[in-house]
Amino acid sequence: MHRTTTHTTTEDGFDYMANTGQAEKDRDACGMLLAVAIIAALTFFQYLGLY
Amino acid sequence: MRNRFILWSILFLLLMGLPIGVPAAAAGHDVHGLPPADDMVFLPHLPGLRNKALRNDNGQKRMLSEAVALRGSSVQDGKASVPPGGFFYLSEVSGDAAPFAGDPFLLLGEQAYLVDLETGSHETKGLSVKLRQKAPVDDTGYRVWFDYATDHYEKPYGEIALIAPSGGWPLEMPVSSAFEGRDQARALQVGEGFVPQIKHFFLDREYLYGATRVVTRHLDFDRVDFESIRFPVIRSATFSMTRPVILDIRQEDYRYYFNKRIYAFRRPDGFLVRVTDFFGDVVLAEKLVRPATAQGYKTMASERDQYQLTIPELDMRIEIKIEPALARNSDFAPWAASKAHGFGEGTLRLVVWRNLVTVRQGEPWPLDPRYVVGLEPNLMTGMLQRLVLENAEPFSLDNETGSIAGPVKWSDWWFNRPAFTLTAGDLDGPACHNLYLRDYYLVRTDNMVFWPKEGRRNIDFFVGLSPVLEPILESTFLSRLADPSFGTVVEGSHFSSYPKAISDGSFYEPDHSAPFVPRFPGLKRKIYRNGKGERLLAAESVFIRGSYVDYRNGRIVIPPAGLCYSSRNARNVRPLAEESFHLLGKRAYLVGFDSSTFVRKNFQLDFWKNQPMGDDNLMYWQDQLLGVRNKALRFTGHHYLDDRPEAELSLMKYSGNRWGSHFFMAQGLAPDAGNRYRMPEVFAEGATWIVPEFIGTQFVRIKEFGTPTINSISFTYDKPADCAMAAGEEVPLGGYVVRCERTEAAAGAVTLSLLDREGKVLASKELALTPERARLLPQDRDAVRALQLAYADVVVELDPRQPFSAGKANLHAYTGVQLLERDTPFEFDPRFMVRPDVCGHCYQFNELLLDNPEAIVLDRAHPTYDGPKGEDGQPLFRIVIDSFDGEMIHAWHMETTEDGETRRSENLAFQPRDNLDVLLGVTGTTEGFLRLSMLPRLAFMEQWRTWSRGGYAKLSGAVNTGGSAHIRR
Amino acid sequence: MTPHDVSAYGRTRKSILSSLYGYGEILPGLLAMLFIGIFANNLPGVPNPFTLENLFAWLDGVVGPLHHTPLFQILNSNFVWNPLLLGLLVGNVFGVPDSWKRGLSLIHMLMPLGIILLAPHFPIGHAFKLGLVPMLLCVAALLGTAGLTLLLARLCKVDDRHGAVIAGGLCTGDPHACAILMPLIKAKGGQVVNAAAGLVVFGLVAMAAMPVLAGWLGLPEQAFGLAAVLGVGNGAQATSAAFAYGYEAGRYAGWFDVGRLVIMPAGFLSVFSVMFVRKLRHQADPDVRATRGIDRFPVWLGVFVVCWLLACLHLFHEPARHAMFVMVKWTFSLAAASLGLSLSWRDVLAPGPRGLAVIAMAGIIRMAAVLAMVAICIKTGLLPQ
Repeated sequence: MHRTTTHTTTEDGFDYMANTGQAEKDRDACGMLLAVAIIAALTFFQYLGLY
Repeated sequence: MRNRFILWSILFLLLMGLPIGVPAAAAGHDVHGLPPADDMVFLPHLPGLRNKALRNDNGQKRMLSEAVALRGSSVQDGKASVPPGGFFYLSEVSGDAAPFAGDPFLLLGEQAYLVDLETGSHETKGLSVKLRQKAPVDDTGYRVWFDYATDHYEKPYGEIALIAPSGGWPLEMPVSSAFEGRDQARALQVGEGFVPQIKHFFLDREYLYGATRVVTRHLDFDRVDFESIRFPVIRSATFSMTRPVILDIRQEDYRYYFNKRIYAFRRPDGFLVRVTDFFGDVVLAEKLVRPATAQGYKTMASERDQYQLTIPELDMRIEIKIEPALARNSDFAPWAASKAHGFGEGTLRLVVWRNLVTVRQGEPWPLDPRYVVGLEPNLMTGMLQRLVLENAEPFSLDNETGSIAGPVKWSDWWFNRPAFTLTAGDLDGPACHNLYLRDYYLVRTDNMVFWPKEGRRNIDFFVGLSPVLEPILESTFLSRLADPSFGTVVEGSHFSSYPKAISDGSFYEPDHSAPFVPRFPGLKRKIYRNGKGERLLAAESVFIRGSYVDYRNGRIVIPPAGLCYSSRNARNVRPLAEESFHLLGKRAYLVGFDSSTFVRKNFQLDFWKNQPMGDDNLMYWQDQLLGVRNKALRFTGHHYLDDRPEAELSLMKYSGNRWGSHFFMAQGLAPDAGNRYRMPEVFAEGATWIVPEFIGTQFVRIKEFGTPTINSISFTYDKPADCAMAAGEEVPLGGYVVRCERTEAAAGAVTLSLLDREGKVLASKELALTPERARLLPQDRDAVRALQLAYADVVVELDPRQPFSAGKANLHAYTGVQLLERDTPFEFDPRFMVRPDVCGHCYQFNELLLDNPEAIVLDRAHPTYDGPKGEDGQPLFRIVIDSFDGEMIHAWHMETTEDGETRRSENLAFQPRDNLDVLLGVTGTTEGFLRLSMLPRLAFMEQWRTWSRGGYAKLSGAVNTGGSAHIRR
Repeated sequence: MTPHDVSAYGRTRKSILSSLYGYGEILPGLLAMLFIGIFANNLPGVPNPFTLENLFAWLDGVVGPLHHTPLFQILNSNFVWNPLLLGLLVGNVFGVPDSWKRGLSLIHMLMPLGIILLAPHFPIGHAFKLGLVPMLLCVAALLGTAGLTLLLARLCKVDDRHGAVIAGGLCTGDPHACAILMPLIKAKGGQVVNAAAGLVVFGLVAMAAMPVLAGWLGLPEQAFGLAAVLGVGNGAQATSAAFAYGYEAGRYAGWFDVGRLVIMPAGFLSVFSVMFVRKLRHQADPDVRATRGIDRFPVWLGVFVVCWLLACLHLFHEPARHAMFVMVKWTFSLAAASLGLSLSWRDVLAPGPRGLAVIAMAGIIRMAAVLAMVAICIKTGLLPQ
């Protein structure tokens, strides 16, 4: 059985809804790169007529 | 000639004038075979009414559908009354369901299987039916409809339909008592290629359609007397409500079936199947059962019993199936994956059907005696096509008792409960304001009163996307599709990386989602009287077909033959009668025509099933072309009748329309040899005939095929003058003078000369109406020409109806006569080519098409295109692209100038589209296109009305197989 | 975030991928999001019939349509709202185990991802068919509502993050926009859900009121289609209001809706810009909370703007646009599940009723303004009679 604290914070103080500093920048960068990759791939594949 | 367009137009006009139609039948009448009221509401979807495509044991595809309908109702004094048979459920299968084939069938939402049928036939003799009457056939609930009569050589032939109690009928049958029978076509002696007209006109007094046979004693223009009408009936049907239990068993051994043992002992002529109790001590049943395979004759009453062991008290029916491994794409037993018959391992397969429900024609539904069962066969095969459950007693709904439960459905896992409930509410005086149907999932329809404030005077409706709706709507579909209440209906396109690209539009029909604009200012639609005083409707339409967006280049392409102007009358246009038609908005008079017969001999025709593009983007290489831009012959369907292949062929016209007749043929069916069916061995209707050499399921080899073709017509815009001339009289005509040289009233002859102003004789001819010629009028070209004196642009003709009166010859004189020749540029606008089309039954002028020989390209720099221009240089219409982003057309319209004002259509891309296909105006041609897409269009209209985005199934018309297939005409 | 976490991340960080944690760490949370997502929405590629979406669709069928519009669409059931509700339910009934939380933090990667993927959904060219005047009205309604709402929020002393989220949702006419603004404004999840709920509630009022008001003004049906799109809440509410007025109004609500849709990015970009500039000007003011923590214009938002421009230049064809939207559905389903899990009922109620008051005031003023503008355009012949 899992022990639950608040909805967002773990026992060791990690708050998953907090999003600041370097972690935020890195997450933004990951999302952005993934998005650009997906958009580029889908566009490219469509231009090639793969779907 | 077969064109029933005038009927449409009358209905259309009537309906446009009446906001609310008249109920089809007042409560209390026998409503069997009649459609719901003209203003009944059609809703395509309710989750409890299923639409499924399943495959049977033989791997054949079966489209299953369900619907609930109400007809014959009326609302009075706050009470809605429904007569017996008015409220019914129906389940339908495409083709048919037969025993031993594992044919699926929907029963009130349950996926059942037909396992047994008891069939018979009904014959009625001496029935007489008046024109347009739907006469009951004895007490069967069937009706015979004399829909239409027309003439050839001034002798009558007609179209009749046999309507099942639900309102469905498969086709109209042309019959006559005045012409040669179809077998005479074998005696024709003609050459190949373009040959002169044949004088024969074939139309049989007997129509053969498998198990149905109609024999006409006498037919005239307003009444038909039948010698005999025979059609199949079904007395009882047994369904298994669940899938069967399938047991692989070794011979001389047993398998347990729940608490029973089933043994199979090998015998020389089958297997002895024995059912015992758990320990094998007590024999409960035993019978010699032969393995059932796909042969059709095994469904005969005399054969059926050998292939099954039925034990009603144990709710079991055992069959032995031979199931080839190759038929694995079957919903019958999808988990079966071993060797089929299994002799490799010494096993065979027992199929045990259970949860058996037997229903009998005309008797109560076993689960609910308030509803009566109707079993409707496929009129060709005699096997089950439709099951109807209808209310036995009349009922009424008012504000206190606002609901009635439908028949109780069988349930495998839940309690049996009503399959649906009908609720009518807010009934006041003569109107109902709230009406809906709720299914067994408790899901309800939208209010079936579309304008609740006004209310409806009846509660008729049809819910469910069942193909039987097509014949039911026969008389009203055009006015429904043309209904302007919700604006111009535009279906959005699906945008793909591979939009269709068609190199040539010939023989194609417009996209099935093409917007339909019934009224467009520039297009004329008018009734004219001909010289005989007959009222004939002449109409124009425009259609675009095969257009597409070439998104890689940001342009819109209309391929050659894609932009078509069509002028067509309610029936073909006949010479010698001053008949008129429209040509680019102006009234024109037909003067003459030049037709011939196109004959092909000894060729094969592939079954039209390979559609390599698979996306409605059809390939026509399997058609056989009959002349250039004339017609194409197509092999569209086949059945086995007593194991003999029966083929269905049809003719495509250049316009993309199908010619009305379907060609049904089968070889070697003989009732004397015990066959249940009869089919013609040759096809001959009018001047089109086919003599087949071999009929197979994959191809047909044709010995001889002939059909009319038209080369040119002559017409004039000038009103013809009628004059009576005695010998020696002279009349000026155009730049010439006509002189009557001699009259011989007794011989029906007059000799005319045409002189120039100086009195020089330019032409002279004796016009003689001999009895031989009179017999061939007005359809025979040579007989027509024999009554005409033509020179340059004038023509004088003898009136064939009354050639002489008071010793004077009655003449029609035409001036300004022009020739429109097939495949030549149109005189006033060489961007368009002239394509006249012929009636298929005879040789007469039927339709005039003008189409583009070169592709038309529209893009952002060239957003408009002018339609064909007339004598005044003004285009009849203009295509205007208002908003196009290179891929999606967001707004475009057609416009025309009328009285100096620009009149525009609504936006024809109200929802973004990827093509410009459109149907503008109503002629027989647009009607044909609409007929092919009737169900999806009607279904989409409902989505459009409520702006909902639900999916809809394409049941019909998805591809042009030469008919939406449910209604063969 | 505690200093403990900052330093912890700083210590373990190797590359930007470190923000996504290890596979083992995120798996429970990812699975939680996935399961909530696939039981909330009919996601492309998942043939699961037991979804909240289907449950709502069935209930729609049982209740019957309200002016031809399904009830739960009027109540804003959509691919963001459904997983959010399910997440909210799961989190509040069963709690959120600690082991899920690393995985749930993926929401912060998924939000920019989803928002950028959404950019091709707004090609301006699709609205050119409406003509200049309706388009100008759409833009005016959007910017006017945004400004008005921000102003009223300040006057009512609503938390500026809450106010900004409300402004975004109200001006775009789509409660989705509240969620999109969340990472930009640095709003709390509770504020977002509270704002979206308030917008839906007010939308119901507007839906009932607009046809009556337009009836008094005697607006033609076609024009009312435009007014409904601009003056009511979400798309389904606008459709229902329009159908209450007439069939043609309903049809034209669908026609004009594209005008509202394609300029939606301008709505949340303008709200963000206003709040961002305001924060730069009032760095020291503790009451200025919106966009706090965002030091400079976010790069990913720049990428979004670039993709939007590319979409307007028609770089993306329709099949690709559809494919991208499928990805948006997936991304937002997972993110909304995570957001739902993060909130307790108390969080949702915490922002209090002031937000609703702002929505009501701004909404009523907008309704009046839209009706007045449309009526004036008709009188002056700028819109067809």
